Amino acid sequence: MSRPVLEIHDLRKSYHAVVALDGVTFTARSGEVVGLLGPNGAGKTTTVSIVCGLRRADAGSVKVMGIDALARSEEVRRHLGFAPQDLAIYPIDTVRQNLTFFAELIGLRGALLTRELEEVASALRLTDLMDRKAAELSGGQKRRLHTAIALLDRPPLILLDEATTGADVETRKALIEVVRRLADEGSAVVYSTHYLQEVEALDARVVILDQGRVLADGALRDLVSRSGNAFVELVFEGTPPGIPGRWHVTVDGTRVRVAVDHPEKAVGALLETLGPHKRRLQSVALVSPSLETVFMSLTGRRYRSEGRADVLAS
Amino acid sequence: MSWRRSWVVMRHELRALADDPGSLVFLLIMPLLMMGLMKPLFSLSLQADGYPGANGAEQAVPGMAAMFVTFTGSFAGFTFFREHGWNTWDRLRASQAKTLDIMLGKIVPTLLIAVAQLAALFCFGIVLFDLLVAGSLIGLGMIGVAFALSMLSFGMAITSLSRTSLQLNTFVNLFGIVFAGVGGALVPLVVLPDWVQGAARFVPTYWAMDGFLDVILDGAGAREVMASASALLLFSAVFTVIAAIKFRFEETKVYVA
Repeated sequence: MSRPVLEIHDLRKSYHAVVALDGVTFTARSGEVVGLLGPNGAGKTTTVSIVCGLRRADAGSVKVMGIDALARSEEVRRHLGFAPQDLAIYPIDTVRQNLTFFAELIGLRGALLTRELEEVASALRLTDLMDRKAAELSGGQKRRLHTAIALLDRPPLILLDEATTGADVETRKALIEVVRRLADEGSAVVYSTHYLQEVEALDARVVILDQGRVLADGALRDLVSRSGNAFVELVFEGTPPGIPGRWHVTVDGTRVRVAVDHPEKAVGALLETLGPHKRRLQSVALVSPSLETVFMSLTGRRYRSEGRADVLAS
Repeated sequence: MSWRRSWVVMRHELRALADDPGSLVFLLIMPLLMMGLMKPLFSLSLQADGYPGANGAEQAVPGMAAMFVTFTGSFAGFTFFREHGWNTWDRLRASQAKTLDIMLGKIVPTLLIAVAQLAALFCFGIVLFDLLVAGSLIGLGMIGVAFALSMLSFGMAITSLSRTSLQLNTFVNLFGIVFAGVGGALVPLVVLPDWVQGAARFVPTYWAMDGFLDVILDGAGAREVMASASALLLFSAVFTVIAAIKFRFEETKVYVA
């Protein structure tokens, strides 16, 4: 097994009365993409900020390459690249000047700096934009520049906090490709996101955070096969009827979700039980096991793509 | 700390200033216009004060230079707000630049600009307004550097106490005018009420004007202006302590464009 690059143990942080992190524990190893997944307010940004030394933890430990990140954060920064959640580039500088500034802060110069700039620009399709002011770039191009800065000098640990927020489809695809390549080349990438589909596309190890706690930690396939129950979702006109039989049912307004092992086999029998209520049925959806169903089975709430987690009445 | 990283930040700041030179030009042109307007007025008051050969530039040039350097002192503070406005503050803090590298990189360019501004205004004063410096240029330089330092540290203290860039601008402008008025930069101290003259010692501009006028009118040398320079350094120390205590690196500041 490859060496751990990031080790977080029992990390706790509160903002006054609000508990942001409640004993977060996980590791990221060399060559691994860890998808830090959770709805808004789950604690993803707080976790990443503490690793970078931007916020102080109340308790717990964080090690980067074996170095205590809470006590020696300046030393730890040598080993990490960080792209914060909000777009963080200098609009008055060109793409080249933005990259050069941060590359020089790393300590790169001369031919090494030039080569690094070329490589990062090429990886993120910025080569033709190098002399353009950042303010004049499109949203997707800005997002690529923002991420490119974090990749300079290929640090062993790369922290990307909501890297694709506001990005177009093409940029999103390019960023995911780059993240996979970085991991293949040996970096540990912590990819914080609230987009389930991105984590699935990355085939990452998944750490699901919710309300400051780690709900699940494991390979995507393992999590889905372990807790990602499939279900049949029925939407009714008006109040849904009771579903007779030994089904595990949750009700959310006019929606009824029935947990089953094989939705395609169970749907027929399920519809039979509805009797005259079948006429009020507006739609039927067969939902296969996925990260969304994992999240639902762990929290009892439905995960929304925009990052909210809605409570289901059961 | 790393001098190289400080230099990288410093170069970045200087480039940002060069990219938007409007404020710098304003802070050179405005005091020159004011000098031209005030010179005849000050000529009369200086002659009445026992300097029969004075043409008014002896008060107008250092006075306007001192007032406008106060505004320049807020440049360093403004750069912190700008980082917040661009969301680059956290990124910069998470970089390999240490706290001291960032601080030096942002503060030193402002100090250089303030000193250059003073030097340029005095040079223009000599060329355009026939300013005669009777004393030591080194003494003039000592006061200039000490005053620039005190105004820079004042700007940083206000930055540390301000949550928004609007607050910074408001307080720096307000105090800049108060300092200039009470300190004898806007009008000669002798024409102000006694209580203002008594309070003047508590503002840095008074000590700057005291030193400048000693050199320009009374022919003082470096040794004679040591007391004024020391007072200005004391102000710098007090403002720096306030800034060091109140400045919070992790605080989110609001940039109002």
